[in-house]
Amino acid sequence: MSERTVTVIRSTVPALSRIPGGLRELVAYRELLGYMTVNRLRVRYQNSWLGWAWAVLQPLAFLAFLTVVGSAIGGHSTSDVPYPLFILASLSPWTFFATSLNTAAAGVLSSRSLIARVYFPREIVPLSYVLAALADLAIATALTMVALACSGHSIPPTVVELLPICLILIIYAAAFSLALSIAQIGFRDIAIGLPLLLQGVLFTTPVLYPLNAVPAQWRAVYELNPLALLVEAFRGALIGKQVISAEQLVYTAVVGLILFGIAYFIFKTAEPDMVDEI
Amino acid sequence: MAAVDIAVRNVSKSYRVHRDGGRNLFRFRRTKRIWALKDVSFDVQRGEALGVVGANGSGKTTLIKLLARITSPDRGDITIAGRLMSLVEVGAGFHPELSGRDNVFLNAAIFGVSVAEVQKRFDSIVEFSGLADFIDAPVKTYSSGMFVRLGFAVASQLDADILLLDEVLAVGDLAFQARCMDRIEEIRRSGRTILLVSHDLAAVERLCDRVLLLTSGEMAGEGSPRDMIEKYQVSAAKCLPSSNLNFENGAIVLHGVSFVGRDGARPRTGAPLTVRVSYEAEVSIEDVVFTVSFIWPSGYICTELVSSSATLAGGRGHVVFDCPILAIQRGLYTVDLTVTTASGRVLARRIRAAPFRVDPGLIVQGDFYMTHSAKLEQDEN
Repeated sequence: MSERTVTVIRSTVPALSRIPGGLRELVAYRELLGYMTVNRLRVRYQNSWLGWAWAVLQPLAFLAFLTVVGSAIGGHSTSDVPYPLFILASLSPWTFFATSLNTAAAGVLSSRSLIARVYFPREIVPLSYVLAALADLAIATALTMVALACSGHSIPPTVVELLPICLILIIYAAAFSLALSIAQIGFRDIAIGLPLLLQGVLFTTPVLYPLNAVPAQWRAVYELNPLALLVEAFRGALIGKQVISAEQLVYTAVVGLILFGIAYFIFKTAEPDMVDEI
Repeated sequence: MAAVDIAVRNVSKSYRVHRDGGRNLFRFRRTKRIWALKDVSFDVQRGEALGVVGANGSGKTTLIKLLARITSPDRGDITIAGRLMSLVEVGAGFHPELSGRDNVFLNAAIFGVSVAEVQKRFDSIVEFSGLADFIDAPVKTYSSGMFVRLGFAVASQLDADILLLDEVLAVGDLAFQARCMDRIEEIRRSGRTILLVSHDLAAVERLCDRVLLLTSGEMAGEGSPRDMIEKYQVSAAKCLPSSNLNFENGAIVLHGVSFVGRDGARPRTGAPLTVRVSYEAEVSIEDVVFTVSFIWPSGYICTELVSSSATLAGGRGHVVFDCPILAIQRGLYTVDLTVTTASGRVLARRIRAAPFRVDPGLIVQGDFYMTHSAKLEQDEN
């Protein structure tokens, strides 16, 4: 007879060993994560008449609004890149981050019936929302590149930097999604307060203005915010301007991994009994 | 020596119950701890089919949820050897907007089964469910029966070492139930381990080698299906309400029924039985028929005793039924009493007038003992 896997189920004791064990199991369940992500996207557009066109239409419409409003206000010194594209280049990573958090926090509660009936690593639920939001980011980024090309800007070689930047961004989105979705079970306030909180964070992140618009005396403090650095770096890579240093990128990666470790530990510790509280 | 597939050791599980509505900053909420399982220990051997019976709230579902890793115990530990698949609620993982085909893959992925493996089994899953024509329609358009069939098909066609079944047999039509039973038997014969939770005691008796009885979260017994089911029925019968229905302005009232076996012993299969029904008639009534109905735990009538019609003078009396051989098998039945006129008009009825327990006597398999003899006839040549 073939070797059988032995599972031991006992009361939860917080232990750091949950992190590697949990990650191994997550890898074993990668197909489920893929399915859940794809299904979120499919279900979102399935019954709409425009279907998948919505995925492109949404950032496109936003770009159109920005163009109209941007030309009406005018006079912004946003380097040589047109204002709408300048905004879109930083708004898409920001939207990815905000959407991940908002949908993941609510998602664990709405997956209640599934969680109450079948075992699977629960982190797959919030993570699938992060990956679904990533699909939107990919589309918006591609659109920005097309728009840049159309407005006479060549696509810079710095776009390859998007890859590490996106990876770090995913780590942040995953860390916060895990922490918020587990906290949401005990404190339903999170779903109510989160949009407000994200609005606050939006203003301390160079989404609607360039990083160099921040007064010099505040810059050092401002640049401690890894999200601010990442958003600025994302835009910089798209429009071909080196804005943050490699050290700063490593700094964001290290902080991100630490945050992810803490969030994953909290999630895995609370996971076995979460079904009793939902 | 057979290997142990499931080892449960001193497992306890409690839930917090909130006595009133929501707690918030301005209102403190008192919570109470209730124990759903208290110090439960048992083993399931490889290839064994273990049934779990008990009243609602006895901890059956909590036990299944612990084994399925849906929730974790407060104390104690559970060791499981092999891949376990749970059918706590059939089709629980289905997404209503997705097609049947997509849901098969999603459902399998939830159980940790790879796409390649599902692809190999896909045809047999669809065939078992009988939904070939609807497999590409969204699951939300399915009837509840179709939903359940697909769910059971997925779980039963994938190779699990251990299968947890919670009330899955109660769904689906008769034909599908029969196929489920056959499939479970087949899985059992292939040497896999099954844990079955059900209120369908007949199914438990037929499928299980051993039964565990739970009462308010504690182990009340462990043993052969017949013994445990009977023990459960005896405890359940105490809670059954009896109802007395009188018609014709209470012209006749049924007081009760008693059962006596041979020489005053307890009734048992193959032995004689005397049944006495006591009544009180207000006035004299003509052409009255007494009926004693024996009811299975499932609610179906097992058999009846019917008196010949008689004229009652007013006052108290008894009707005595004499059975030379009690033919029904050991077990716990409930008894309904009915008085009708010869034309069938109901005068009085007493539902669940008393429990009726038959002890083991002449034992054969099945539900009845048939009086018989046998002799050998050999052809001479």
